[in-house]
Amino acid sequence: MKTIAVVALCGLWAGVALAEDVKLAADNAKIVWTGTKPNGKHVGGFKKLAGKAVIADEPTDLKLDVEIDCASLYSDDPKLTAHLKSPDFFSVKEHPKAKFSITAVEKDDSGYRVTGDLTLLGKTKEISFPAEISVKGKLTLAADFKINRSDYGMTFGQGMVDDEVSISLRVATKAAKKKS
Amino acid sequence: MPALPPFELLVDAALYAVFVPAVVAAAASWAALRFMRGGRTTAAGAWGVAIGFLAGNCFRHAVEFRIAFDRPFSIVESFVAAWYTVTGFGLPAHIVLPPARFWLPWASAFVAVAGMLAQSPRLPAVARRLIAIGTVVIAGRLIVTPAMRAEFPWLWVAMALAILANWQVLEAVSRDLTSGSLPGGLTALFLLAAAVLIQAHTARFTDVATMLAGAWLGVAVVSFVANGIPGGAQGIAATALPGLMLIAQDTTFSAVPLVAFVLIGLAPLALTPLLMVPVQRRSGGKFATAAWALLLTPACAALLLAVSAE
Repeated sequence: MKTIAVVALCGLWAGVALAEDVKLAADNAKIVWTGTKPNGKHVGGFKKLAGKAVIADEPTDLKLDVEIDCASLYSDDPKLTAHLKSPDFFSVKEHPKAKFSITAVEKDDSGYRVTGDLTLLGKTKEISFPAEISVKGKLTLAADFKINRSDYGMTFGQGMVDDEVSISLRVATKAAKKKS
Repeated sequence: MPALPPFELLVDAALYAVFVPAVVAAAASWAALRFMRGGRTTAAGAWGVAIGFLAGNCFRHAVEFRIAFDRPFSIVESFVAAWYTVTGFGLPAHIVLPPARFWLPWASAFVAVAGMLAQSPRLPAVARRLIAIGTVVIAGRLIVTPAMRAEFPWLWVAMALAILANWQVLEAVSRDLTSGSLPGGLTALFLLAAAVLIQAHTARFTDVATMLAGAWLGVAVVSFVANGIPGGAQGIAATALPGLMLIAQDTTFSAVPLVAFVLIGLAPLALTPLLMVPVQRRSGGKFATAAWALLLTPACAALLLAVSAE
């Protein structure tokens, strides 16, 4: 009985010890978007974000929450940046933050499939996309996917600006801190 | 000089944000003048501007009429949200307050309708004044939402006073500016507002100003042809000008200076000197030209400031 208890405690300790916290910020996490229109495209991203990832032994146990400062939005044209921050698109004054939380990571044939909740313009929708994930001492995550801006009520300029926006997500943290 | 938008976008805007509102507003105000009892002095102008604006919005989608984009229009929910926006209490947790731009058309329509009611000859002068003050207080608090009031507690009072002052001046000069002079001047004023707003990098608010310009153009044509005053619409201009410019200044990101937004929002006050002209001289081409010059001078200055800043 005593042996079983010791084994269980060790197992619990091992489980806890393997879960590690890493802080996410603009220096280790990048979100880049590409918006397209019938006669061209623009590239941009966000300069400020903050969040936390909890990594374990397996990528399927990954937890991640990140809050994006929409006012830090940038693009390849300063006037476009101002336009994107206006109520035509991100409405930054009314919705200063966007959020993303991973709710599940599943292994599939090509790597992993991430499912999470993306909150934009105050609307939360579940999204799912393929990703390459590694959690060996540090977290690396690379994903390229598309979201539909109209799902979040960003409907202005339909026909002039495409609804689908490509997102490139890159996370590369340094060695993680063990969670006590 | 900043580059113009692509040609096809300009054609699109001219067609759907100017031509459609103008034609629909002209048809609506003409029908009101022709068939509505007393339409000439009360509702024809307001009716024309409102219907013309809504027609343009069907194509441009610049203004939302649903609290949430993914839910159908709800009268009860909108009323509860309006009640909270004005009074500051009584908001159920499940209702998310819409932004200020949501209330702008409602506030403008409210001032126009209240203005027509206040014109009733059956009402004593005190009641008319009370209606006018109550109306601008409600409109001011609708446009300056609780979030804006938390930041600037005095702002709704300034908005209410701006609407009241604009409204009184426009009502007063509209009696003398017949044959489309005032609607024509307001058409040009809203076009200049649109030009300032495009410098502030907002297509949505530029569209709102352009559609109002188109709707006023339709009313101006009918007013010219009928040689009369399709009335009631002054309240719309008095509210929409300062409301639109305040909301745009608050929510956009540009180098356009604050004074440019203020100059457009309060442009009707530039007509005040006309009220000092003796009544018997308030007619004719010179009077109309003076009105146009006074009305558009601050707006032209605002455009110059906006263009030079950007």
